[in-house]
Amino acid sequence: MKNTTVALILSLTCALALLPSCNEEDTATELRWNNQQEDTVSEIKWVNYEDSSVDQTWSGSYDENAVTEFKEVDLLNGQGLAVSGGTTYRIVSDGERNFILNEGDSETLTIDGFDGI
Amino acid sequence: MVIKKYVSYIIILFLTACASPEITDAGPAPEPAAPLWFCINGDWAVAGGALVEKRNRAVRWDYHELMNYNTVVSVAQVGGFTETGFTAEIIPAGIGKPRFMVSFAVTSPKQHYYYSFYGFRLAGTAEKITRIELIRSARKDETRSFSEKNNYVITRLASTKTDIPWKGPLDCSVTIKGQTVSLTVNGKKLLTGTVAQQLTGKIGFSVRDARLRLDNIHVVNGKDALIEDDFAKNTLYVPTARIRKVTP
Repeated sequence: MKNTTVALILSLTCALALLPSCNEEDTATELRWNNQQEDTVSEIKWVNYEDSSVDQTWSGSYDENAVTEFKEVDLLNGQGLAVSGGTTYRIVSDGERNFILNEGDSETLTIDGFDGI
Repeated sequence: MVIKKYVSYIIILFLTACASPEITDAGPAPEPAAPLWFCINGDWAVAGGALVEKRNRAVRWDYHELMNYNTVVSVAQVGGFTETGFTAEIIPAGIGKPRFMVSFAVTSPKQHYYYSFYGFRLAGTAEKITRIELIRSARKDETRSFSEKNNYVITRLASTKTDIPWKGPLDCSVTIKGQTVSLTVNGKKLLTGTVAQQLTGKIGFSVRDARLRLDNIHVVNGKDALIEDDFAKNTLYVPTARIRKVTP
């Protein structure tokens, strides 16, 4: 009986010790977009730059000040592509196209302006 | 899991390098010039004296057919061209069905919604071009909003079977005489069809499931040059969306 109790306590301790790391792995990384410029954005894709595969898509009619819903992403190092007026826009920050997201965070990327002709 | 992801990246990078070592954007950045070409979709750049598309795949958007390819269109609309000539080096990605298209009379009712155009579309296997088509794209329902997808229809006007290898630069020209349009590749007229009269619009180049190097583009009306580009300077305009801040 005594041995069984000790084994039970040890098992519970191990399970509790493992619990935080399990939770960490299960926490989803989320991303959303905040459109702070005047052109309507009809779609945004979060894309793997290696093979152009699409990890996540936000579709709608995002006018100025509109914020998309948070969506779970698997890709932590990706590129954003936005559609407005029938063409794509490369999403860049200080000339960089790749964005690295912190795993498990819910991040908002704010679109501040479009450069087009 | 993270290690697996990095191993996958390394494998993809290795395979990509093996598949198409010819098309890179290595070398000094060319001097900027007034834009002649506008990027609709893809990862285009002017590098090594050519206009190159480095990505194997194209992200499919479905707003209009040109957005389903990696596409550039001319900034200017040209009317009454008699010939559009160019050199194309097309390197199939080894995935999907490689396609290349030169389009003309590309027009939009608003902004960049290029529903309307004619195009010569080349498609085939990883080794060779097996079919060439003359197609026409048109908006399907003018009452539907521009943001609605798949609101266009593609009609095949003429087609032919071929067995031309993709390998090596292809000297191509599209010629128009009256309502007759022809595609010539490496000096051989391959397909002829009928188009509407007095065409006006942009010129476009599109590729999917392949990489592309374009050079020596010339669009002429008789002896008058409408567009000439040897890509000694950077004549490509890429629309960008600026991110101001990243907040957790």
